Amino acid sequence: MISAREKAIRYIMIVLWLVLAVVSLLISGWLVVEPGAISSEAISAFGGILLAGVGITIIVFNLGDNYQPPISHFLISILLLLLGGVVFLFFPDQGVALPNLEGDITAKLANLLLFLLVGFAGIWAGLLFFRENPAQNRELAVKYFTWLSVLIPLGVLVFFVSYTIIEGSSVINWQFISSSTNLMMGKVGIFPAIMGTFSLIIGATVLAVPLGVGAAVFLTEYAKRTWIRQAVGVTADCLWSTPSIVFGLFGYVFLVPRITGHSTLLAGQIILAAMLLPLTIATSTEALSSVPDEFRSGSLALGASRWWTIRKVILPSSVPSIITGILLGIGRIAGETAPIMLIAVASNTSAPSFLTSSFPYFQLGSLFREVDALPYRMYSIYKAGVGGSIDEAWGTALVLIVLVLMFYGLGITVRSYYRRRRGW
Amino acid sequence: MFNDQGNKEGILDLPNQTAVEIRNLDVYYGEENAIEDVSLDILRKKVTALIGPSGCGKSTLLRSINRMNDLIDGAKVEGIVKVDGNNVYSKGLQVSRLRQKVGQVFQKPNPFPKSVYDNVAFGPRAYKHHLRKEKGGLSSLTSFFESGEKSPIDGRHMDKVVKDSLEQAALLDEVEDKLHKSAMDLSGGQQQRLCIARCLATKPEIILMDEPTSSLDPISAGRIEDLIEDLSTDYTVLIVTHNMQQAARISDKTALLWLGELVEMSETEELFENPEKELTEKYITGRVG
Amino acid sequence: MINDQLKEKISPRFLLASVVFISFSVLFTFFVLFQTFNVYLFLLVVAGVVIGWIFYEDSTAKALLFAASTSAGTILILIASFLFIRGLPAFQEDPIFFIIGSEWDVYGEVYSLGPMIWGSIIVTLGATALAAPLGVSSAIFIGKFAPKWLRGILKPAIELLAGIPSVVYGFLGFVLLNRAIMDYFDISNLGQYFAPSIILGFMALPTIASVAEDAIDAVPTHLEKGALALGVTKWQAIKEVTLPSASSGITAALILGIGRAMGETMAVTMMIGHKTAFPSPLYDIFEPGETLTSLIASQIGEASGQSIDALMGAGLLLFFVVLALSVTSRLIQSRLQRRFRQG
Ligand SMILES: Nc1ncnc2c1ncn2[C@@H]1O[C@H](COP(=O)(O)OP(=O)(O)OP(=O)(O)O)[C@@H](O)[C@H]1O
Ligand SMILES: [Mg+2]
Repeated sequence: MISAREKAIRYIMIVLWLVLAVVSLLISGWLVVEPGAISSEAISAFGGILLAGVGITIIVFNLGDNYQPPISHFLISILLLLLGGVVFLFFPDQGVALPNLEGDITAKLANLLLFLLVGFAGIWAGLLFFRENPAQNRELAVKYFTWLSVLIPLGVLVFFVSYTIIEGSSVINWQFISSSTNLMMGKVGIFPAIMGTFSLIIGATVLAVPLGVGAAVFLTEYAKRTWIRQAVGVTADCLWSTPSIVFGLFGYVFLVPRITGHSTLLAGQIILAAMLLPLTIATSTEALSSVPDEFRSGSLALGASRWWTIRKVILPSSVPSIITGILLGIGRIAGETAPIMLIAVASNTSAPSFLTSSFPYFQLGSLFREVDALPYRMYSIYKAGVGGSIDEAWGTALVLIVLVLMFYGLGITVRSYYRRRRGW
Repeated sequence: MFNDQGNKEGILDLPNQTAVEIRNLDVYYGEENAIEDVSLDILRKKVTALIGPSGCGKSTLLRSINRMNDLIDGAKVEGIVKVDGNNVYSKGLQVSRLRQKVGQVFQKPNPFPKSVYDNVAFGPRAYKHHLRKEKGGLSSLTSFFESGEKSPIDGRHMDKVVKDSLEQAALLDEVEDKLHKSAMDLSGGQQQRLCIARCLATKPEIILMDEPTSSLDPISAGRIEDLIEDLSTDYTVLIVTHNMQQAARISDKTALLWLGELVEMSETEELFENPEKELTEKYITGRVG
Repeated sequence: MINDQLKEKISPRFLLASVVFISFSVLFTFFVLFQTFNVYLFLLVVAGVVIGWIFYEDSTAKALLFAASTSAGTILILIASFLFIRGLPAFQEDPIFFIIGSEWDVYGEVYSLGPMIWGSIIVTLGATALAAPLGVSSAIFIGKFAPKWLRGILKPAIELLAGIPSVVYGFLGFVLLNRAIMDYFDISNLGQYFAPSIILGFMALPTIASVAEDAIDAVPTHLEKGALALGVTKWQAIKEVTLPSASSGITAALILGIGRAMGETMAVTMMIGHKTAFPSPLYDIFEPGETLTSLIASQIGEASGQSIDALMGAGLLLFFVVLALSVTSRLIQSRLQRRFRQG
């Protein structure tokens, strides 16, 4: 038997929905009276809300005493709710909320709030229906709501990436990637930016990785006192959360005047290294402390010194995780714009080159010149006004995303490969 | 000075036969006194078993011989531990030398995630490296031309060292064709024998074993027991065990620890057949502990 | 014959001296970069390290590693001190006006950060309103409901969301979202506070989700199992046992997420309207505006003299606010860890 309380709640919910529906109809009726205020969209919006209400009502009547609602019912009600919301959302100007205030900020806000309210009310109502029922139903509800909340950001991710791929793939060709822009010949190419980005991240990696891994080794293998670990942990955290534009400002007032007085590749590499450092410290510390202590005591008991133990046992067995961390970190810094914008880049510079044809076959001059970089290229297109060169922007965005995804993919592959292989 | 304390405390009159001499040893973990005033001798080329209830300090005692207690935060050792007549805790002693001489086998097999070969060669390689560093980096150049290096392990015959050690650990037949495969793929018993081989490769004199068979199945455990008996012809073995039958089977001498104190130490047969102390009798018949 | 290991113990002074020497010379080299004298100094250090490596490999390695572990602190101190030195003048004249005044006029040389601080607050609040519920409930799903294989996919996917460069977010947001919102709400300006806060929400979400997930993960499962053994459902166990225990970790996640949103630069710069004045009414999130980060990013290039000072002041403010947020979050987290170690 359904308890009286349960029954009451259901009836209240139904009545609420009916009231909402009637009010909606009344408002639309009133809108009909006002000439020109009504539109088909407004009606469909109310229709959407009603639909959602019907969906929920279906569920209510299906919930018997020990009745376990199948997931499909739950999903249907969500779907109906969403449908209602979408219909509502896409025709906002119909003044569902407060038609008199059209054009006023309060109206926009009210529309927005009303939408959110209806959405949340629906979700809440959905949850409420499960409330007096077996706890398992509630668990199901929570499970699917949380699942939904993972899907939303993932949906955004997929949407953004695929949109970029669709827009960008028609722009990208070999010439776009392998040559530089030549306005005289009407050619557009991002080769210098690609090379610039690579030089930046290679330099940053070379600087940051030894420091970061070294710090992590010291912390996990030598530092006995926890306060040292905590101190370094806190500084790394602070460095990690420092806004990227602050890094840029710092480079602008500290590095630039000390190197050449203008933007240089070297300054960019150093600042990006400073941003990569905390990530490297954090991931390497984690990797090293996951090496089992048995390896340490095993090696030391054989008469090996600490350092030999680190070199021959601990580092080799944690190197895949460390590499993973570094690759993910590189993925992060490869797309950074704010820090390099002020200190390292200029648009339409030529690609940095470190090799020469004569002895000693390399030159470091490029370190002290400006470079172009993919993220900066995007920003400068934006600044110049997207209109003219939107294709170039999409192409650059695609290349940048592919680059970042490459580092992430590599990192994740390394991680999952070695996680399967390692023996502890 | 120590001699007059008599035999029942486990102290011998014949110092040249003792491999390890422990006198008035106290070990603290912070405030906790884990070993209290223990004195005993461990005989050369004999198997000595350490028994006692859980938490009585057997592992602690073992670790204080090869100074693995140094690795534990807050552990403090007082008293004298002499290996071959040298105090282990004296200043200027080389810990790595000591540990090369006093090997340890752990309760859980702990091979490195490397090949079987590299596992066994690990100790000798480390030893060689440390030796070279000791002489100073530049002499490593000159020592390259010297022949007949007087080290316990001559690195130039690594293959032989590895094979011999595996042979001694009765593992060679099983892994001969897998020498360069990962040691993590061996069975638990094989891994434990590999750890014994790894320890033998550094040419130790004393081998400390902390419940080496407790994580193994009976058959693997039996093989390790056989191995320990074989080893006792060349090595001094100190083994911690919870298994009274095992102690009776393989050891020459047995010591009983209780709450960090040495209760009794004597010939194994004697200890099991007519123990001197009441507590020992109660413990071996299972009435306490 | 002295043992390597022992030497590390008996000569902390040697170690300390070497470390101080290395770090100071590196620092010094930076301060007056490319002056011949310092290059020699640096070469001297390198030579010392090489010789040390040959004779005392272990101690040298330890000293170098220690030096490496001071690097993060050194950089942080450098950043803080330089921002402080350069940013303080802006606050000195009239700090109250600088922070809450309503005018930023480069031509009139009147500088106050009021509108930008307000903008940062609005945008961050909006982003948090989106990211907090989504992030926390994603964390609950990933940590508690997802099967293992799905977890292995979702975690990197969420990481990836943080990996998309902010300039790409900014571009996509500018091209797609800004226009959509303009059309949708029928407003006349392209940039507003509203659009960037949505994008920022999605950018801050991964931080919240992953830190909250760690917090949920850190709760010993025996607590939950104990509850389950009493016959409650999994969700009840999570709600009654896991979430309360993880609550401070989740709080830390939220604070960290807020810090992320507040410090994010490029996406905001590309999507906001760059109007350095308060919106009217104050809560009009559809007006063009400016945040602290977008102010710096958009104006530093052309700034000079006094306006650089003012921008440095903005940077200083931003840095310390975000620093405070992240330290708070860290404190909360470490308290949480300590509780579980004891309990
Ligand atoms: N790392 C440590 N830190 C603090 N105390 C310790 C540590 N290791 C051991 N102890 C304490 O020292 C005492 C002796 O421990 P030990 O490990 O030597 O016992 P045991 O006889 O080997 O026990 P078991 O048979 O269970 O291995 C115990 O009371 C234990 O709590
Ligand atoms: Mg033990």
